[in-house]
Amino acid sequence: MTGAAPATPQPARPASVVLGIETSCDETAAAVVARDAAGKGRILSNIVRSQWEEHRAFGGVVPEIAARAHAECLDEIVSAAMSGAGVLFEDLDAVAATAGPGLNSGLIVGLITGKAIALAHGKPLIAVNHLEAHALTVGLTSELAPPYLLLLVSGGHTQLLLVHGVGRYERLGTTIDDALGEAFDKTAKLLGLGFPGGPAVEAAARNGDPARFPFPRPMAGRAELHFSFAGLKTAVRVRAQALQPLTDQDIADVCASFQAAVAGSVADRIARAMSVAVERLPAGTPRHLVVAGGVAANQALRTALQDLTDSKGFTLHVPPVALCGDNAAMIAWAGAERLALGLTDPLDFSVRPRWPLDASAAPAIGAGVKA
Amino acid sequence: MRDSQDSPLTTHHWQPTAGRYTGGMNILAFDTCLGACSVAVGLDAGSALEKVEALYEEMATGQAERLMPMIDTAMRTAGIGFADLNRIAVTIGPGTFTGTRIGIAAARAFALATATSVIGISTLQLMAEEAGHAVNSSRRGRALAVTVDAHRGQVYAQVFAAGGSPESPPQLLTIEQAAVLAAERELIFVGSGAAIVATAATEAGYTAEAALPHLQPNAAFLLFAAQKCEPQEGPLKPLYLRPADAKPQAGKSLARARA
Repeated sequence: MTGAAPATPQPARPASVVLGIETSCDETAAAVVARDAAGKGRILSNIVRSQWEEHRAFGGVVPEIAARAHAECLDEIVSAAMSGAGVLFEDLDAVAATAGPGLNSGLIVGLITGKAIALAHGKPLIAVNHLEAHALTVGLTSELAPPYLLLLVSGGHTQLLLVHGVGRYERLGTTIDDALGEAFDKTAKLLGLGFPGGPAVEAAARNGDPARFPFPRPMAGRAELHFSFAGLKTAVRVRAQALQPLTDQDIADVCASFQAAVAGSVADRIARAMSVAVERLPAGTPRHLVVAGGVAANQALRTALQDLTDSKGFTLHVPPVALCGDNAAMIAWAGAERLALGLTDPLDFSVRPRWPLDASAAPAIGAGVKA
Repeated sequence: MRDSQDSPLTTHHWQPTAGRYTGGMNILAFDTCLGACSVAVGLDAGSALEKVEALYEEMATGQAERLMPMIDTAMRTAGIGFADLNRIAVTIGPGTFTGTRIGIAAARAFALATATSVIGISTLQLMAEEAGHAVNSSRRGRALAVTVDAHRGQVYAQVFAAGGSPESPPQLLTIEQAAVLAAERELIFVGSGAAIVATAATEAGYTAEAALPHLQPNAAFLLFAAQKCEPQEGPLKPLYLRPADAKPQAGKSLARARA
């Protein structure tokens, strides 16, 4: 992606009904979404089965266990989504399935299922980039259209992007080590709070003092727009080890202080990204910050971002919590958006465990698949 | 099948012997479990002029990309649509974990999308059927052990009587354990694990030989197997035979004060 493209008039976009399938990590999901000719979205069904129970004993997602669990129930989840929507396979305009990025063996289960349904009913297949689906989710539940600045924060990714339009993304920054959701998971594991860590840390922080431990704000003040959470994780561990044995109040204070450091670091990065966005987007473009991904559900982060957007003249947009975590409604919606532009994929499409949204962005050292 | 030879089964457009295929059903069969990807569509309008469209490609990986285009081609060449199918047949493993799931997920998706019943057959059973056709006539009438290299010094193995009925359960065995299968009877080991197991069996003093080292599941033979079976009740289950590689994590949490 090079530079900002001027807004172009949209071509005629017919209405569509799309089935979405999501199996990139530890949620097995299917959904049916309708998109009217004006581009307005409506969720007809949205089924998510989480595999937390299967992975809990391992303290994280085990790829082979995830793939087995997807294969065990995906057809039932699709069936539930179709009947929940009151839609027959022949009524669909396309089948969309996540093709990456994510865990190879799970992606294969979802994509082959999507391909089979598409082939059996002669429907177009859309191989969806999971990150693109997160990036476009805001358009499913609101009138907001690109361009906008996007913070994508999940268990697997932490990125800042300029969303210029469907299929047109400019990556401004990414994490160079852990994803933010991962940092929450590791903190929770350290403190014995269970898996997944995000909700656990947030709950524990509720009665905590965010000022008790002055954890570092990683990358704060740095010119490049990358994130880093490994150093913060270490600081939390060193501090918490020194406190052993930990009281409930210690744990609450560590969690609250950790969240404050995270919010401070993220707000610093976004404040800089806002300046870049204003520079790169056409003059007079309305200023919008969209937050997507599972960590967008975190209230401490939301509060920090609300304060930031208020002070910088931006409007903050966060999709409903149910659409922040991994789900298939966003996959179906991304499929509908791509279908409206005539973008479909062949039946020999390969899954892409690594699939950056902005292929032209320089790899960030240490970012790995999170780039 | 043409005159039996100990040759790998790499038939591309295989026509069954007239009269063999008389199920009166339209069947779509496919396999993605091991070192090939194969698809067969069997048409039978009840006449003597049954038609089989069979495609077979050897590949270690890539089944997830090839399967649907091959099915599309076979269905088009056979001249039927998915609504015309009466049955879907698929191999359920053992095989590579991903390969096994590709077939199972595709079959379950087709079953859901077309409301067609599904038959699942193990790769070992299917290869025993194939081997029964392919081994030299001098070896007919002897029991077979299908042995598939499962890596890590192990094989997926199962013994079948001359007529094709299973005489042991499908198992994941070490080479030495598989060799012992020949302790009670003369065995012909077939499949990718045959040579190493037969050697181990001979060294242990049993009577055994190896044949058909390149044997792979082939969907063309699945058509017959699918006709003979009744559709299973409940969802199709994969036969992995090997658990997922995962160890529960030791607790790394910090000590907590007693309340």
